[in-house]
Amino acid sequence: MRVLVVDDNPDDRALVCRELDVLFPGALIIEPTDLAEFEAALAEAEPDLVVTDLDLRWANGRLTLAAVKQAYSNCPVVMFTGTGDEMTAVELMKSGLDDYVVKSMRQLPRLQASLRLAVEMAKTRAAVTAREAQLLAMVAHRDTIVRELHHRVKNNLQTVISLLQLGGKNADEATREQLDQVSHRMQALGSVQARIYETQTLDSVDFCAALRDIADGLDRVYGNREITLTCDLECSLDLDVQRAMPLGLLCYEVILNAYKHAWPQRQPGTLTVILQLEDQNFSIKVQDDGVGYDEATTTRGLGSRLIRSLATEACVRVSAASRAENGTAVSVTLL
Amino acid sequence: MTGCSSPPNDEIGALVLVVEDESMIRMLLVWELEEAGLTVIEADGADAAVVELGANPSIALVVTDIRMPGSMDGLGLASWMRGHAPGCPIIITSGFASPPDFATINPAIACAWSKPYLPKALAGCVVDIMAQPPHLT
Repeated sequence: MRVLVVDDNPDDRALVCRELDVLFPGALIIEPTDLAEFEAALAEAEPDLVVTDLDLRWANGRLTLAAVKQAYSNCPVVMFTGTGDEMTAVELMKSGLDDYVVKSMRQLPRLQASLRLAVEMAKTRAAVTAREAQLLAMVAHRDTIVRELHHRVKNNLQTVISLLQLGGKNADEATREQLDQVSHRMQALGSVQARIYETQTLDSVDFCAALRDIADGLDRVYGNREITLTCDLECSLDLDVQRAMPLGLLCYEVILNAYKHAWPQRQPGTLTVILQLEDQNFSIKVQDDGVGYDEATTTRGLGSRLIRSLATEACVRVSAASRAENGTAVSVTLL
Repeated sequence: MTGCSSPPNDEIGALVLVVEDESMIRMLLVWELEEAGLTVIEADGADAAVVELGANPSIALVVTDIRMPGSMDGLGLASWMRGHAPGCPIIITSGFASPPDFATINPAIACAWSKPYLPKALAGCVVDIMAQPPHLT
């Protein structure tokens, strides 16, 4: 325990020292008698407590308070003075003074309580500051881990795609096609994952960009330069991840259907993906000018089952209209 | 200067350097590039890539991941290439959602592919770039 007693009156210093001996037995009490001694004592080590007078021959309490707080912002300072008034007390306490005790026999008992409380408060402040720093470090660490995991998910999806496709390299064509389809779906999931906004919460997706990536990705694989893909995504749509994932997969299946079935003879065609706001509801429309299908004779594959299941999860209504030789239009409305 | 001194229209068999630290990802990408008719050299990081670029002046394009262990990452490699293999097209692959401004790192960065990508589609992109007339640098 290291205490600085700053007072130019030796009797008053002795009074304070007696109180300190009772309160903090064994404490090192330093009594600077001029500015140089005060500055040297302050520079040597952080005091656990400073008791200062307001009027000093060689300085004043305002300056000692400012010097202490500048060097050690948490160091408790109690002013023990015969001069000054309430206004001064308020002003100094706003500047960080812990307490203000008037030099009088009547106030003497208050000095001891004031000194004890100032030291305890400083300890509490230090503990709170340390805890705050610890919590900030923990939050920063957690953010780093979350960000790292977010990055790992994308990299791991890439590794899964690579493993699936490497597995298909020496397989028969049917198996390879199955593995291709699975890895393409992984890629669609990855398109949504890649468009998660890099905010602290990582819970919102730029779905408009994800939809464009999904359509472009399919075009690269199935477009064969005969089919013109147009993305008319006129509004922005941010979705939470829980909804964006199934909706991304659903859109992938719908667009894939068009590429796979609309132009069986690989004839030239146009495919349009539209995202629009209609009657306060977002809707995604996938329109092709291919051969269309006949509801009665079309068999349902995995794609259709996936679409039904994903529609429930993504909370969307899917409707399709098709006329033979007149293309197909699928509408996905967010409910 | 190293790299990019191959004849510009040497499409088939053009030498491509793949820089990727994860072996499975690298293996499939190399496979797809080779199936697309390209000759491929592999590096598991930017440091190895610098060695390959020095040893193989005919490298006509580099595909590099960003995050890799070693003294520099993929962006460091792209920046290094600006001084040592200017004009050599670079394709960046990355798991980052918000990429930096590539043009300031190296104007020869042709495009960036966000992970996960389909390696076959990326190989198609490499073929397309190789088929283009060379950029004036």
